[in-house]
Amino acid sequence: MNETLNEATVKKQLTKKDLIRCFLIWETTSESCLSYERLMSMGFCHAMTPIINRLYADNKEERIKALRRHMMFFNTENNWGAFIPGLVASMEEDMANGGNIDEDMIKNIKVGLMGPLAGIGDTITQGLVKTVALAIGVDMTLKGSALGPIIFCLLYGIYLMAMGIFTFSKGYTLGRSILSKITDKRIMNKITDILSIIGLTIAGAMIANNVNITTPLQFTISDSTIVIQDLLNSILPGLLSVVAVVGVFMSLRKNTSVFKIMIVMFVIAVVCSLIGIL
Amino acid sequence: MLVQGLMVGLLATICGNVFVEYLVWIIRNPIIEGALTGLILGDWMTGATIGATIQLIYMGQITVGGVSSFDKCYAGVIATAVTMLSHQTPEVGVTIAVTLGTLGLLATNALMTVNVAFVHMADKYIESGETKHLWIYNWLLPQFVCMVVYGLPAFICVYFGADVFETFMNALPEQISHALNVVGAVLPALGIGMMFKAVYKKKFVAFAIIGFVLIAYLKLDIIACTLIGIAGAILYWSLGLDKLTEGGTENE
Repeated sequence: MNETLNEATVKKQLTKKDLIRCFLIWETTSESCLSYERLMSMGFCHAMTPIINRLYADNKEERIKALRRHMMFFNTENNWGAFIPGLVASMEEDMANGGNIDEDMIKNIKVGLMGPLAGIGDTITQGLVKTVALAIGVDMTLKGSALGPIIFCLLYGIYLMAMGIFTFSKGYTLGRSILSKITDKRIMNKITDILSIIGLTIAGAMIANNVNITTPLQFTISDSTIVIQDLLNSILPGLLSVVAVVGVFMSLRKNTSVFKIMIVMFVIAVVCSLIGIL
Repeated sequence: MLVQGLMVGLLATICGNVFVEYLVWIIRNPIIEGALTGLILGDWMTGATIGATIQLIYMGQITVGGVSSFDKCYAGVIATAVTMLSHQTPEVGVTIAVTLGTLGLLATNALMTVNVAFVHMADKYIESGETKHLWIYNWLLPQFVCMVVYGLPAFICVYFGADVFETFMNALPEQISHALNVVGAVLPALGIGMMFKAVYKKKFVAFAIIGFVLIAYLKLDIIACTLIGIAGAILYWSLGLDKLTEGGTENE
């Protein structure tokens, strides 16, 4: 306590340890208490505690005010969103030292950033990177390799950790100046372009590899048996699978809910199996 | 069975909510959950295969704001356990996962509703200006709820359910179990469809055809496809093709 009091008279500065603790809490519990009312609010507040305790160690009023402002509604994507606690830490530091940042600016920047970063993060992390990593892991596993799940863990785990550390540290050191770059549409388009090319190649491959819809139908016409599946295969291998995937994709593009599509597929599959088509 | 039941229950608790944020991103996917459940039940590979097959239907799934259209723990951990214990094919596992995954949404809802109370308790606590016990509200209390809504059902399924499931599955008429297999074969089309939606850009649709041909006709494996996809992405940039399409076709 004495140490912090002395510091307070000079300049309040966050140590590297504070920042690492903040990041580690963020990476551990930021969504532990996800609630309908305020989503990640408490996770964010918890992550900020090392920062708050350092900066306002000697001022209980300020500490309570800071805790309150970080208990507000908050929701973002965790890995790209790690930018926000990093940035807010640097803003709190500035404010505690009497800089020109005030409480409203901190609140506004949180509200302003959580949406865009969640949008980018969800698209890239869950939609693209995870899908590609999963495709490789799932395919290896289904081909009989015990390493499939581990490969997925490595690919995805390294990406997540690298992304979290990168965005958090950039948020603290570069602050808002880098923000225009992260949200720059042209750069984002470049990244999504690359991932879209890779993703589509794999998605196409996965139709052939992992969807396996076949028909047992066959007809016997004057001693010769026609197996319908062979006929279909000579037109296009996995024709039924392609039709099913394209059908699903078209309905998803029309914003039909996943649940509805699932029910329809369920019914079609059961009916077709009972009458012997599938 | 008691030890295994407790361990599957623990796994379900860990996967149900956020035990450790970073880890949860990785393990809360049916392929990993399946492999871990398999490990507990004594067969990593079977668990991984069932998990990977279940994973197919959730391929392009994006969870926004913590709200998903299925529960990843029920569809991953519990469904794999039930499938393994009743000795069913991975395709039947998919049908089980869809059913349990939808049912499991009740657990998610319960958890996120109860958590509201913890946030309010924390609101009162921070008025004291202390932060030492904040972790109890943020982390510890939700874990107890998870034990009830995830861990307990998983434990019951493994400890009491093993025989019940097997008897039930064996008692099903031939036609029904065939239908369950067909459903399991058809549903991966949903996952791949969602995956298409996640990565789709109109101008790159040709790459989907390339990927399909590589596997369906040339019989390459998925790593080769990934490499060809990467090569395509590099060419797209090094040949400056991006400049031709810039501006015109925005995020389509």
